[in-house]
Amino acid sequence: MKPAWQMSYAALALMGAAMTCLPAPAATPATLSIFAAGTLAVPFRAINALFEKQHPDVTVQAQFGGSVMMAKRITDLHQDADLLAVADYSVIPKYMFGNPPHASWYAGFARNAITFVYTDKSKYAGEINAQNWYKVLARPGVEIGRSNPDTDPSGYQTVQLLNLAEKYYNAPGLEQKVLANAPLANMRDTETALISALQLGQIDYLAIYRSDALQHHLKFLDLPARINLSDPAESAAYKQGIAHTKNGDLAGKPIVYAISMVDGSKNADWAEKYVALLLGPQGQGVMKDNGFGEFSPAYAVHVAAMPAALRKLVKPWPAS
Amino acid sequence: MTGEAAAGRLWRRWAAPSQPSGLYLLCWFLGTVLLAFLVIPLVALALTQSGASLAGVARMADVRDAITLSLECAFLSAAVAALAGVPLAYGLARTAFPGKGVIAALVDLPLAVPHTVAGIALLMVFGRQGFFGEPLQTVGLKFWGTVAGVVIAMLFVSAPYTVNAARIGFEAVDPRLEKIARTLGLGPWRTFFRVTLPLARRSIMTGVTLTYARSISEFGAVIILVYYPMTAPVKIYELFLRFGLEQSAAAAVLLLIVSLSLFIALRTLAQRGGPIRENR
Repeated sequence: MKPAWQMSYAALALMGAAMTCLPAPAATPATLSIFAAGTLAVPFRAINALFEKQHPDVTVQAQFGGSVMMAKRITDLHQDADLLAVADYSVIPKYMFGNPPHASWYAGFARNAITFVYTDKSKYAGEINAQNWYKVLARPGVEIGRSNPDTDPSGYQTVQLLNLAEKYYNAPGLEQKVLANAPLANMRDTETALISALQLGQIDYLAIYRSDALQHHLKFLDLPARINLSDPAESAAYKQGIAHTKNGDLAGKPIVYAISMVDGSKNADWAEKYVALLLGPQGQGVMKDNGFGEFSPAYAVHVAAMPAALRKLVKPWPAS
Repeated sequence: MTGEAAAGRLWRRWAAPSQPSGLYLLCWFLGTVLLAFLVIPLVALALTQSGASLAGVARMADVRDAITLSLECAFLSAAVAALAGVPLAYGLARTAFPGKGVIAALVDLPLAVPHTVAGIALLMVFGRQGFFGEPLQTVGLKFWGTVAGVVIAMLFVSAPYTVNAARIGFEAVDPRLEKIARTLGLGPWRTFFRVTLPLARRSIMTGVTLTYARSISEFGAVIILVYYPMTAPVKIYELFLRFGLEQSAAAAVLLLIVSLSLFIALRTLAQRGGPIRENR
């Protein structure tokens, strides 16, 4: 009779041998952790389900919040995430390429636009359209909701849109008049927190992303591409839209969602496969179904730093 | 006068009479586990801060304003809870009627409602087009982005503490004491204010303190109704988004220090005097 500890070593050795025989993924049930911008919640849940179906051994855990908040949870709070997806691609170089670096590349995978949503109960809902919107939004008594330009991309993107509109429509004072109807009381750290206020009639219009407008089945304005920050080809024009924030003056940029693998991820292989799914036709299809602009092939910054399998899915980010 | 006598007195105070000391040891052992669990994270948070960083946030006018706003609104919330919650607690403690259990459960309900949902429910009723909000707006009382909005959000999630603690306090007052007071010629009002209320005072103070503390910490319900002007929890969150952990932790520690001093003062006040000590 062998001592018990010898038996247990033998059992462990057998298990080890068995594990090396099995295909690697099946033997390593993993949890892929994704931190993502709040606007991505709906499409990412669909893509997560797709991914889990293709890789039954992986559980995808996604957490959603403000883009900067999610980046800071990685850089400041040292929380473990395998992937970070943000609503403004510049968040990744700004926070994740720091010292020490938490990421080394990023890929733009979807586009979005700023718009205003409203309901049947909103003031002047019957009159407003994509041509007269800036006059209607400036009328006295209209209540407009928006997110905080000091902490949230959609907050400063809204101000940039108004700044661009002032020039586009040649309507001096437009920005100031519309913002006068969007006082601090109507502000939150993220605009989706105001959807309930819109539906309850506390506010009449809400500056929000086009994707959210579609996903929440809200009426929205289809604003011109020259001002709504949706088109990378208009980058030069967008630069003219300036938002003054507590973090300095921010010039307009196309709204491009970017994803990056987090350095030191324990699930880098799975993270890579997830990015491939997202950038591929299936992932792009889900993004399109949820109101986001197509982006194929995706643009990437620091392509050389990407895993080889992903490089063929992207082209270098055009200089702007 | 001997040191021994003093030490003996001290010992008698510690190992209060006629209880098995093993029980105390076990109580303190288990209690210390919880105490450590509650205190160590806060101490760890406080230790991240130097005097200089605390002074730094204390010099920021927006941080001071946020803490002041939180303390003021929480005071109003606790005052309303005391003014309306203590009568409700007395009613629940002293009257019997069918469905009383349902009322008592309703009082607890806000504690089980997620705070975001509480905020949305309040907005539904107190918003621009709400049942209370619309008529009150005509007299100039608004709850969207105002101090009044902060107070109702705080009150909703914290009032149950006052009602429950006060009710337990009233229930512990022997009704025979009230009857004796009545036979001695006191009217029902004076009996309440001279006998019942003083006897239940400690429980009521505990409840009001809990309401006050819970009000200061409330974030989820407040932020639905009011982001600006910022209360301390909203300010701390905004500092975290803008500057990261360091500044927000400094502001949080500052809030903790202010709150701790207040709670110690309130506890001392609640423990002190009254006829309770003599009667027990």
